[in-house]
Amino acid sequence: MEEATRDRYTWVTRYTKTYNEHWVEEGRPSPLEPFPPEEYFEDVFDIMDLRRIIWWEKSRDMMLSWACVAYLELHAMKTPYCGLLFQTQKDKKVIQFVDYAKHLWRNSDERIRRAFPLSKPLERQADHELNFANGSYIVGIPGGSDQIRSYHPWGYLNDESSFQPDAGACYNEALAAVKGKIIFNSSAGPGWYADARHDIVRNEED
Amino acid sequence: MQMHDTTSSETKKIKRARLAELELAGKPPQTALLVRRGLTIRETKGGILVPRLHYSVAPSRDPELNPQWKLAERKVYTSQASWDREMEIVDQAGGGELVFADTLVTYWKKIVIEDPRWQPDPEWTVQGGGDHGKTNPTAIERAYVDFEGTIIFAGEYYQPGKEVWQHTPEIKRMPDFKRMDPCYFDPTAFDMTLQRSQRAGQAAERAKSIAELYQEAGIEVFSPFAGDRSDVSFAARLQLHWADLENREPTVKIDCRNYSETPQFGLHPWDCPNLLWELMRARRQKLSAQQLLIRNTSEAILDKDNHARDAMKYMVMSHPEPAQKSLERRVSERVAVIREKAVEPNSDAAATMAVLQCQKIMREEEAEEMDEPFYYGGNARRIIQRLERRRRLGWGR
Repeated sequence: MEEATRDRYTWVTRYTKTYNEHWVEEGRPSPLEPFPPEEYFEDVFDIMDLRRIIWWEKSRDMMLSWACVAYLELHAMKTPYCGLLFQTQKDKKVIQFVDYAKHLWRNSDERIRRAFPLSKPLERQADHELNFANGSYIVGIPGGSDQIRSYHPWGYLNDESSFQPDAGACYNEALAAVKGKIIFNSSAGPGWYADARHDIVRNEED
Repeated sequence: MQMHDTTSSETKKIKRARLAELELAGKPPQTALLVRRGLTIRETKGGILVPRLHYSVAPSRDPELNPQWKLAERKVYTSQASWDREMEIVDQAGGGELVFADTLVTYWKKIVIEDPRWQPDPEWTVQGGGDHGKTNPTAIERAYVDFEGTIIFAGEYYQPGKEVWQHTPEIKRMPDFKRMDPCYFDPTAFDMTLQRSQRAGQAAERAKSIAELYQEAGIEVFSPFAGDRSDVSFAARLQLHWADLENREPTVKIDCRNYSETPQFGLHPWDCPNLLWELMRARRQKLSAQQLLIRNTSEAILDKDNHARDAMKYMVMSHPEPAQKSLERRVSERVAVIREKAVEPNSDAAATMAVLQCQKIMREEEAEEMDEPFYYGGNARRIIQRLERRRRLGWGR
């Protein structure tokens, strides 16, 4: 068990599964598969360990959103009373995002599920939530900086930040509300997130 | 963006990402370091880590190892722009790129005057531009034109949600406001509209124009801008003022000691934070992937947050002429040159020589000034303005 969850790469490539909606077209034997054992995922997880705040930019379809969810979720599983906040532009998408986390837990090795049980069965958990027996939780919220205020999580994941009109305001709110990891993750698109990553948004201290 | 490869076999035991991060120290912001092919990290000025995950990180998608994947995948996308945005991580692909921000950030120190001791020469001409808004901000930008023709924006009024009578006292408090001659204003503010009479059988009544309301409130410097109002022309003109800044000084500068990422409403006697804020945000229109199939990338600029920018446009597109030094100043400068060229510049002989030349120089300068012909459509207005200015400043002629 310890071996299975010693790091994220080991967990996602050997002891849990994601789902692939294009499995038929891609000729895969099943929609459920572990992360592909690509070496770059090791670097992806290592990079997220480096700093408190990470701003990812990515090509599409790299499984980076899955990786971000897995990165934060394993921390919550192993750390009691660790709260995580996931935010995407729309409510429907954020439910899907929380579902990534549920899916990773559901498809984990049975010993892992026993070691990190949920507070109540998966089917009785709310669409926007995943609660662990150790007091840790994952909550999904739709876009909008005012959504963050009432939470004080350890980690915050903002997905497809380029397409959230007030991503900048969300970032500022997250700085105040989140004590641990802040991860922004998006494919390209003009807006605050693009400007901020390229230092086009000038801060007063600049 | 510079690129350095940090991967080496002897450091395999140390994590590649950590190694790359260590190398970031001491590198300029936005320097990208390779963690592995397709995966780089860089830092913003504020020290935030920006990893970039490109599809080539996966060997099966790497164009060098498997060019077929890219060829097949590209066909799925409806346009090159959408491919560039989604897969090549090009934020501005398909239009929507920032118009001035890159130049401003790159040459901030040259374009933006941040020295709190800076002040304009009293002989520089003062002109302005203005744009009226009710729910949107009313913006007045004051600019100085120096002897070389450089336009320096130094002072603005930027306030939404007020009526003309509420704006007027604030605008009048602007330094050098009375010297502004002219202040080119949004021409639509001069439109006089007719409205149906309230009493049957009577002729329609005329509603007052915005400009008339300002006039009644004692502001008479507004002059309708009659030149090229195209935003695209303005952007091209401003980029010319800011071209080749590696080798020369900009010919449009902005005085601002209090820049912020948000608008700062009210009167700024000597700074233009809102003008800079708007210029930093100016974007070209973004076309959808479908539109890009049948059109070129748009040159048009988004009609948003463009109040101070419009005021600046009226001023810049009026092509102001350089200010002219006063006769006394020109004469004294020539006299100073004569003294400097003397064998002993500080001697009595040099001073005597300069005094002897003084009358001659003055006659020459006067003759040159009056020698300028008058043209009805040309420089008559400028010469009248100059005479007016001289009269106001009490230069005696």
